[in-house]
Amino acid sequence: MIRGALRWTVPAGIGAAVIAATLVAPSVAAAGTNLPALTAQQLLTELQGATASAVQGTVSVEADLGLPSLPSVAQSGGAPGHDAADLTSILSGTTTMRVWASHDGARVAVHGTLGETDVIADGTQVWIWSSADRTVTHLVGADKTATRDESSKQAEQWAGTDPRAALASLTPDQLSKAVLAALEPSTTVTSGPDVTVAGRPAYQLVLTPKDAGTLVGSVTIAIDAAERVPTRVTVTSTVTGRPALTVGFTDVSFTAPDPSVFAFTPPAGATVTEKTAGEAGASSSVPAPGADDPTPQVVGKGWSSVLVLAGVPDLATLTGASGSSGTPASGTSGAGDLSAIVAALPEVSGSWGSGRLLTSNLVSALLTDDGRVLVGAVDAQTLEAAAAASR
Amino acid sequence: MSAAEVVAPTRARGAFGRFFRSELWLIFGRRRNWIGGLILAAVPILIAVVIKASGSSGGDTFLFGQITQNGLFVGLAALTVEMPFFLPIAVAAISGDAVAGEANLGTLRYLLATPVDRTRLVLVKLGGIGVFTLAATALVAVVGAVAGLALFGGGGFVTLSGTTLGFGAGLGRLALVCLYMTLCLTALGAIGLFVSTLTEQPIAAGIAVLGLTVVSQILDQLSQLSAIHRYLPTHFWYDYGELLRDPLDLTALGPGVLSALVYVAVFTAAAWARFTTADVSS
Repeated sequence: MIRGALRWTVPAGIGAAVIAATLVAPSVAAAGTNLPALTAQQLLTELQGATASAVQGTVSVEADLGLPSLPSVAQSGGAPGHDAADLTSILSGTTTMRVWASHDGARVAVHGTLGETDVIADGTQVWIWSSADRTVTHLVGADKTATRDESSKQAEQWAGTDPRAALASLTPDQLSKAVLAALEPSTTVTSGPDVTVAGRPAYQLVLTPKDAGTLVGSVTIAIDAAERVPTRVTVTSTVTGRPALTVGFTDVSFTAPDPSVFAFTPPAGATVTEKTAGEAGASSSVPAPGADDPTPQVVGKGWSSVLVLAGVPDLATLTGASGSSGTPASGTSGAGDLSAIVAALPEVSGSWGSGRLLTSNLVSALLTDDGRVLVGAVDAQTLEAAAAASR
Repeated sequence: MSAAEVVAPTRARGAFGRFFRSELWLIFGRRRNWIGGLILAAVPILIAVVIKASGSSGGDTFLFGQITQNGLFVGLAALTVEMPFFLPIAVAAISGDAVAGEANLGTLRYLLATPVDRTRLVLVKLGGIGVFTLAATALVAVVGAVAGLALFGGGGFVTLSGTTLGFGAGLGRLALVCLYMTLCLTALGAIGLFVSTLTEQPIAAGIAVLGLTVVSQILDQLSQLSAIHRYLPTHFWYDYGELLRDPLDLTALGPGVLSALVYVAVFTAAAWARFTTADVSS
């Protein structure tokens, strides 16, 4: 039996061992990979040879966007016991999602402390469940007799139009596909050091913009060595020099999930909103203001290009319109937040006019009073220059 | 005296059982602890009656909103309301009292003169705290469930994922939530046990533990300190929400369970080191 003051080494030893284990374990795991060296070109080919047809796992989204403390973002900071599973919670801090996908359907569950938002598609219909306000949105094909393939295509289209369903596109797979599609000669593509993602060895593809005008420092895509599927995407910011957005699996399996996870029946007491294909397109939550549609225009090129949407009504109208054409949810989320966010943004003005500016570590946006919206992975000066150029 | 030394090992187990029973009697036999229990049990009754009387659909949050659908949610809502403060108060009071209370009353001297092995005394005190914690969470859950089922009935149990489970499965989920909270609060109790060996003032020990709980929860809200969040004793407390999802993924509770077990191990060992080396006997 150890005696005297030596006994204090027992609690101290346990504590030190645990803290050391939590700090050392990640680096040990990373050192364990033993993969053949591949060039960037070979990695891109590997990506196209992806074999996985099903996936299930846990995805972690870590955002350090440095957004100003906007009303809704601050609100979703999450006091204990607060339902924090809405979209804005993804924009700050760490969000955990569980994903399932196979031939039977796809499901994404965004976890909050005591809340969850689910998007469930089984090929013929899409269910969106929000535990915070206990609402269910049910999207079905306009033509009920449509074949399975056609309606699943429609379901995919809605997934693109509904912002909440667009969440589904945040899986590492789809996000990196979108990034690769945007590849241009303006980018240096290299292979990075091998890593371990979700306990599996993975290659890394590093995309570095040659353009110094962008806020994107680099985009790193981890590609699972066995399944050739992207398992993690990291976007660093030139503002902070650190990752601004990391989307990656913390746990992944490429076996088909039980089909029952794609089954959904609205629970008793929930508010169910039925939508069909046509309706979903028309009453999409993206504000469709005025008679003339916004005409997209691109100023600049490569990573520092700025997207300009003209013909958007002035800010007062925008906030008013979005307030009245709100989502079926009660006023606490969605449209209500938008007007509050716009009102909280700092006002800026210059030779191009005046408007409100949103800056972050990765993306900036300028909403001008004459009805233009400028968005780009650039700083405020570039946006204002683009505003002057696109007048 | 040699005869006593020979029989001592065979008597040890029975003595341990008696010692543990007397410790439980000390906790559950005290009138002040009964009053504390009444306060804990009042919260779910208050929630159930107010929601029934107002006739509204419950409240803004998911747990409160489900109450009118299934009475079991009164238990869950009450546990959620009491977890940040009420339950820690109870655990802080009991664990702070564990050693300091006996030292303060002067009964510790008699206990050690019996003689009771000091290592065994630390383990018995920890066991008593664990049983009390389980009783406290179960009290809130059972009172809430009974009150809720009486006023609202038991329909389907809707998970956070929007799926509906049967009544039995829902009851199982409520029990799992109780067990998880018990583990988390027992970790707090282990800290309290250690603090209790540092002082002879049970009130001071209890307040110190409660202060630690509050400070830990405040630090957990500061995103600038996210690097140390996982080491905070309260950080994983609200992970019991993972038990309300479908399909159930118990691995999501892994960090919380591990954190609680480490806290129990470290602070029980610290209490043992302090109590067996320092002269805590008055």
